[in-house]
Amino acid sequence: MALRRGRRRRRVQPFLFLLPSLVFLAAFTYYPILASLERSLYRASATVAHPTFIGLGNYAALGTDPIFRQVLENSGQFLIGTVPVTVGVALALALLLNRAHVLTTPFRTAFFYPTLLPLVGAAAIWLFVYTPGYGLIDVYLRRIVGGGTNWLGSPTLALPAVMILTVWKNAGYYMLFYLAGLQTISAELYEAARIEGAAWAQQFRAITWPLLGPTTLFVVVIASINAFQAVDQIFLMTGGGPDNRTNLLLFYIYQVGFQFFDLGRAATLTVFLLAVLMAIAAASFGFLERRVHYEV
Amino acid sequence: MRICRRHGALGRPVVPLLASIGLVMLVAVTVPPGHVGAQAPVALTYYYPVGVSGPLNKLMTDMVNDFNGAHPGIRVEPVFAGNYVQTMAKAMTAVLGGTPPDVAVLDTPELFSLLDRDAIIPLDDFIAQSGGKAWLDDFYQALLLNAQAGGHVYSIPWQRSTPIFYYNRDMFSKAGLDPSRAPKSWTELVEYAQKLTIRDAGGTVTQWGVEAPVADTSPWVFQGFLIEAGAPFFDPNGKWVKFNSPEAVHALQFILDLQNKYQVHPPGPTGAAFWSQVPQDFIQEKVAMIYSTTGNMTFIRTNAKFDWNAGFMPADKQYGAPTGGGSFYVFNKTSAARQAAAWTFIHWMTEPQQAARWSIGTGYVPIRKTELSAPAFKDYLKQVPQALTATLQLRVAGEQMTIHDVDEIGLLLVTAIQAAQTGRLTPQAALDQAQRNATAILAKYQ
Repeated sequence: MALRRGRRRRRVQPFLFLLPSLVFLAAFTYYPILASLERSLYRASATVAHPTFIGLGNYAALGTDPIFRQVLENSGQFLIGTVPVTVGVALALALLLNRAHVLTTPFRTAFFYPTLLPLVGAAAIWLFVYTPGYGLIDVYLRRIVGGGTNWLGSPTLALPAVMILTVWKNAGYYMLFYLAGLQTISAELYEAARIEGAAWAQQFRAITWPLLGPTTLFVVVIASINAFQAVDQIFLMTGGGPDNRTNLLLFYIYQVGFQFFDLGRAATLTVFLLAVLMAIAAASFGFLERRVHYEV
Repeated sequence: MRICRRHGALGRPVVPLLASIGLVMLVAVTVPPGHVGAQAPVALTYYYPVGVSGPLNKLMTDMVNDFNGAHPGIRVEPVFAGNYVQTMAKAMTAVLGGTPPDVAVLDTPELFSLLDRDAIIPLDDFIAQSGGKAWLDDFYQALLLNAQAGGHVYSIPWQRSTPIFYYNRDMFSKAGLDPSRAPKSWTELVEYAQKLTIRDAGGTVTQWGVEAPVADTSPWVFQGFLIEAGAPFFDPNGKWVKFNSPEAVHALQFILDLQNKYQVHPPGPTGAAFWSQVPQDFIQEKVAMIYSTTGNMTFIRTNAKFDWNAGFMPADKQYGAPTGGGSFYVFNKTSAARQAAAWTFIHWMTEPQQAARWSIGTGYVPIRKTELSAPAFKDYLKQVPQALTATLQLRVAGEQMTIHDVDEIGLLLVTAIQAAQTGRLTPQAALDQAQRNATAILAKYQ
């Protein structure tokens, strides 16, 4: 009897420990996901009292929404424009700063510093940096190529301008992961390589890059998810303009949901974003996982 | 996977235990106090936005504290809710959640969005109790235009503004122009702007003639150009818009001409950043003439190191400007007692001396005629005679676009203007597209 009670307690106990996080996950993750799924099947606007069921009507409407197409294109460009660059810059910084030198710590601090700033604050600063006429960039650029570049107002430059800020903001953070990754690579491997007469590029290709595989995977996944969650800088710097050229997926959801109060359409967009994020996660942890090297 | 294992390390028993304690405490603090004393004052939740630069939060808090001090039976709790869009989002979310605020200052053109949700109540009965037509007529008529629908009054003007035309008098004198007046017409605006645009030896502009944030996140200033061009562009009942009339195309073409043909206005789309850049450029003496809200007058007055003046927005067929800014709304589904208390608050806030205090502290236009004779306002006009210009312009002001789904349709117009400014579409094609999309959205209200 006592034995059985003990066994039952052992079976129940783990679930009790899980309960607090389960409550929060259910309230703030699972329920909203299910609610969004349900609401995406309705024509529901804040200005209409009773939602009507329209099946997949909202999804069909997305297919013909020209702004949604523009938003997808922008989000794709943002992903391609920020993730490889951020990862590349982070890796380069980590390689440069992975050595014992008097200046290593100040430099590491300097490159990590943007991470400590709230994104909203950083965006406000860059708003000034990009101001035509007397902004930081224009003042210096004028001496070289002539001034008057309206970064955030130009349909071709606005999105790259936001991307530059995003790379600047995130590269230092991913650098930390790479620094940590580099610490785990055994010095013996490099010693052996040097004895064999391997050049720096060979060492990088044969040792550093493969052994950093897990770090790179992690950083790419986080950076991709971040790219789809970018919203603060858009909110502050461009409002999605000009001509919707900087309107990204999450900002569009905000517009449709909280400015147009078209809740059904916003839920549909949310489900779409969710699907994208889950696809990224699935791709990385399923398919890519088999290809990265793991140290034992 | 290493990353997962790192998370796994958190699974020590102490963590869930701590989390459970935290959860219990969270529940404990969020449970509302059980009993409220019988004589406790009526507590009103009041949402307000801040739409212009300046220490507005402090002034608002001071005024609310003064109200609470003078009314022991009512306790107004001010909730700063961000800009207009954010405040509207918070209010609507609260309404959808069944816990509406009692009173809020919201962007005045949200009228139909609020009515469509049954979120607000008509104020006719309260107005009748407070002096009826005589009381209401003291407010400037232009400000009441978009407070009404179906014969009822739904909002009381509060922080109202209008775009006006600021100009740098020192630059006018230097260019040989009469510094005592602003250009009167679009034609004269072009002449002035050409004289005021200065280029260096390399052809780079060092001083622009004019800057007009015609479309930032809303097409507010552009509506002034539409009114001036004589384009009736929306239905007073909020059910249709007319964005592609010949007059509207003419107005948009004029903006493009300032930018591309005469090159007296910075080129390219006027985006969200441009709205706040324009007054900055003005005080930095990078531009001679700007269109900006009266709400920025205090900012310009305190920061400009030169002689400046304000004038009407130059006329095309006629003078004109939209009104703008926020008004007081009283919410539905609270209780009669709370609604009456909300009215007491609104009535007190809009008393001439209180309203004058707000106008002086912010630069928003006077909302009532008697406000002008308040002693404090008379003193203010002696210091800032320019403040009168905005009031005078109210006589020729038109109604700001107030329609169903006003935010979404306003953004269509913004996109159209920006598409024309980037050269992606011609003015006609851009406005045609906005018209088509707007008609589709408004179809459900026909």
